[in-house]
Amino acid sequence: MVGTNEGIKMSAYYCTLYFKILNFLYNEAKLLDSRQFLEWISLFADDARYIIYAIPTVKKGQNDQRIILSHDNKSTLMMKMRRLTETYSWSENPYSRTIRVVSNVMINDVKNNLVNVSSNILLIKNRNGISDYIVARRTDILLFEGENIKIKHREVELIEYPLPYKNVNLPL
Amino acid sequence: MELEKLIDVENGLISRLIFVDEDIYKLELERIFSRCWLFITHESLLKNMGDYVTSYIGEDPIIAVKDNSGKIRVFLNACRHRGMKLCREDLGNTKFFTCPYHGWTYDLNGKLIGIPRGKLLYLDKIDTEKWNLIEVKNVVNYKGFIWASWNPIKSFEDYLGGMKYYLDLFIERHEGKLEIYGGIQKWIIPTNWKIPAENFIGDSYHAPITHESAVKLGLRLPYTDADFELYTGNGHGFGGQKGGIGRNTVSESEHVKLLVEGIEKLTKKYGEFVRDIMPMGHVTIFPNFSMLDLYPYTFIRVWHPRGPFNTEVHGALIVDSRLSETEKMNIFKRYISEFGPNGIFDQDDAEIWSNCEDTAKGYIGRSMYLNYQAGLGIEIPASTKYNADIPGVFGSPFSDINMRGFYKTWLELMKG
Repeated sequence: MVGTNEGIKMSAYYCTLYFKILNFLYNEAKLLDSRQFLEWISLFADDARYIIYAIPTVKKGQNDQRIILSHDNKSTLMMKMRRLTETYSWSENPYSRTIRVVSNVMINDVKNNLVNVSSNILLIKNRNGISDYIVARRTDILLFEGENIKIKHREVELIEYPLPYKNVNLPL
Repeated sequence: MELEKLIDVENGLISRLIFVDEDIYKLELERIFSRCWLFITHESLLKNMGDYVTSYIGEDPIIAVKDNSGKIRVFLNACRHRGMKLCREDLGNTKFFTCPYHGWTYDLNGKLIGIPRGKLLYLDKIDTEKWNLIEVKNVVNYKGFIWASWNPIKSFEDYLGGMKYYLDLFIERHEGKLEIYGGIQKWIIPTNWKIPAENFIGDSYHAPITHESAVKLGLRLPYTDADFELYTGNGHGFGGQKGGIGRNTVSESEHVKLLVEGIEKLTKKYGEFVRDIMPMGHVTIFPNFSMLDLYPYTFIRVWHPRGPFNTEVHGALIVDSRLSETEKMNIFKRYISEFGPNGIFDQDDAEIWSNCEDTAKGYIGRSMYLNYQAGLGIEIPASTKYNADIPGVFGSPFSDINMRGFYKTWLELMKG
């Protein structure tokens, strides 16, 4: 899943690419933390996939398993985001206050205009005196179209199982 | 404690103390969770010898494993020596259970077969037969669904009562070919286990409000008054929109074809009533097993108590195993977009259930009685309504009849 970036040579090209990606991911987090859910959708390529997994505990040596919790394309994501902005979306009405901390960003692979990037995310969500901490690692395939970056594929692996929070209703 | 004061089914009044009180909770573990038949797992998760899953009976951790003879056994997940948890995994396959503390080893039948330095320590005088794993002796594989009880109040079939008839219809609809698909979603909702269990037994009333966003998105048609609630006795019941939920929100597919054919066959064999009550809608089998059976998908749930204030939910999609992999995955995608931690229905339910719990914690809050009076006094035997020999009693549309039955059963068991 998570690659190693040993093959990536440090270079001016790499540094520029890295900062573009950092800027993209931070900007994405900012959009979400300011609840611009519909604008967030525009960061996805039209054929994008967005999948959230949970990981059951298995014995060492037995095959790792992943439970799919969410499997979206751009149109189902749009439906979910539109819902979040509605009055009758009780899990986000009133809205929670959120902060997304994005870290450990690494470029794993570059193939033509596709860049494989891994990162960690901590989503802190607070409302009614309760904070949920949703911790996950992400692997993205980012599509570069000139100066424009789109998310072509995102896999989110939540590290907790059973999930100790009542829902995963906000994007990671 | 005067338990009778907490539940007044005749007048539809339920004390909120039952959702927060520590002593009541401890009594529930004893009188409900150790005496009822509880859903453990589905046999499709235990295909091979040595396959196991871990779960709970009340707060007791258990292992369900397929032994060498193919029988599914249920053990307390604790070593007999010092109580160390033997399996710390959610699932897996094994030949033995070896304790990581001192190495006591048990086979798949729970038999103690190894004690490191046994001769030195016990001088061969230990009667190993007395130190086998603690086994839940009463285990039933009912058409693929595995149920267990420490000290059953009655046989499994008697315990199911009228629900047996409808559970049989559901299983026959798929010719018994059902499986869990996509694994088990597990998460913790800060609410008392009874709040979701009562929601699933009979709360159609909340759907148009709590889940209005789903109607706006076209995932459900606007809810009509054509609702049924069928109490099948012993604390079990089901209900929903007449004729099933979501028929017009699924496009024709392999799955819908099979489902519709299944319902047609049942209708021909058993009578017209089948058309009204299939798919079954929301279902609870007392105390903590639930199901939601709709046109788009069917899923099962167990509400594991985690103290009075928390519930560990185990949820899983259940599909007809005759379907293709692609079709199963399509159903699964729809299921997880609506139910489970990311599902838009569950997101809102969890928000509401946790806040119902929260307001019961205060001094005044816990002394309140809640209103379960909807449709009080209106009870129509299913046999009369359909002029057929079928069990159960219908309430009026959106009636609280199933919840009243649930809490009546709760009280009877709690009294001991």
